Amino acid sequence: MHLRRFFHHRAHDNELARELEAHLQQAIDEYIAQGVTPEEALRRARIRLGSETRIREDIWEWNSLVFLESMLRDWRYAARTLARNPGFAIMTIAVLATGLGANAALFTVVHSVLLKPLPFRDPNRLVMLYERSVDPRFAFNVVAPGIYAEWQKQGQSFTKMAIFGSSSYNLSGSHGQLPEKIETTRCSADFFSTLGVQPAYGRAFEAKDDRLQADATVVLSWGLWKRRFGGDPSIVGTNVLLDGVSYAIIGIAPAWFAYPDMQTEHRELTDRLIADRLTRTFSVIWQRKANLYDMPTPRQVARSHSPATRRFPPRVRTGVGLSRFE
Amino acid sequence: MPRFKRSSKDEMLQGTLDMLILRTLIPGPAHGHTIAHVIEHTSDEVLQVEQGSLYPALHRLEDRGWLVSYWGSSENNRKAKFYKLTQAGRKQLATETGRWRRIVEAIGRVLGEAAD
Repeated sequence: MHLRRFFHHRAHDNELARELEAHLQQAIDEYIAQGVTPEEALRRARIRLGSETRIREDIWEWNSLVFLESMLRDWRYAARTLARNPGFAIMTIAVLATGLGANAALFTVVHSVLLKPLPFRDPNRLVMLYERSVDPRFAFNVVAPGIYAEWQKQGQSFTKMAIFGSSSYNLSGSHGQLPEKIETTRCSADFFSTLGVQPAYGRAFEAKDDRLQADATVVLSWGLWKRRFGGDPSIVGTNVLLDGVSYAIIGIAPAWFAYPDMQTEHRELTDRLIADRLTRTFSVIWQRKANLYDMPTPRQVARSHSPATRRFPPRVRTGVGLSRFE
Repeated sequence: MPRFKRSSKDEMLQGTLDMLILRTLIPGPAHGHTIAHVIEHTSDEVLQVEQGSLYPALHRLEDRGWLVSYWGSSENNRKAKFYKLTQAGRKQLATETGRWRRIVEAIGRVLGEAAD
């Protein structure tokens, strides 16, 4: 079938009608020549040819893209029905639109919350570690830095482990700005490298920052940097005062980076805190070596790591719990 | 698939109408009425062309490029659509004639053996 024929359907059919008409005339002429009355000639010619309409329909159908035509017909029918009953049409369209919109909105949420991988490096390998206390009420307890330090000291099965906790600081005003209370995250030096995040400007924390005698350092969040420092990259290397203590700004976190929440500056955790085994206010991210499928059960981890705390007083003695990275 | 089926007891063998039409056009262009007439006349009225299937057949043959059509005047000065055999049509006729001969021969052999 030629597509051209499909688009020239009507013209083609008209031509066929003319052709059949010509055929009839020929036949009539012939019958008249045989001495038949014109009426009888017409009758015989028609009988001989059969149904003209039938022939035209056959060829019409042969030239049709049946699927396309019935679809067009359905559309026309739908449009007519809706136009006849506008109230119903509006209701139907509103219901459908609401349904589609709700679906799209819901899927957007589901997509970003559940389906889209986290923007970190190897997100499948990130898990949260918790202290497991003998007390069943604290099956998943937040971690004291000292415990984290013990884990890190003896952990061979992980590549990287970082600890972080939140606290708020007073950011002193400079250049006539008012002081401000900001939410910060205190973290160990490998916080950024565990997540695989590169700062937008400057550098991330390094092991040498994680010492008591080192200068205090801070990585600003993109938002704070834009808001307080006008997005000026030369701010890196200068100092800010947090709770009256001078911190060197070593880097700016990338704009998309909002972990653990939207408005967080990152500040390194010194080994003074590492010595603290009781202040269980921290979270630990663990980047496992292997993929998720051979993830050890929390019990296994607890067994393998509990000797670490054995020499601590009983209230410090805890195991390790694993949970999904959040 | 095209549907040109007609419920007629005298229905021609499937595919033979095409072949006959092509053969009829060997001497020169003709219109539908002449084609039907020639087939019937040449076969001593044994073959009756079902006119309802003649035009679909012509249409089909033209679609395959075996015929071309044009409007002209008939012998008694009436407008008529003429069909003309193309080169491809000639080749097709040769193929179909050969096939037909082989079938007839084969059937003949079968019937001949049965008669023995």
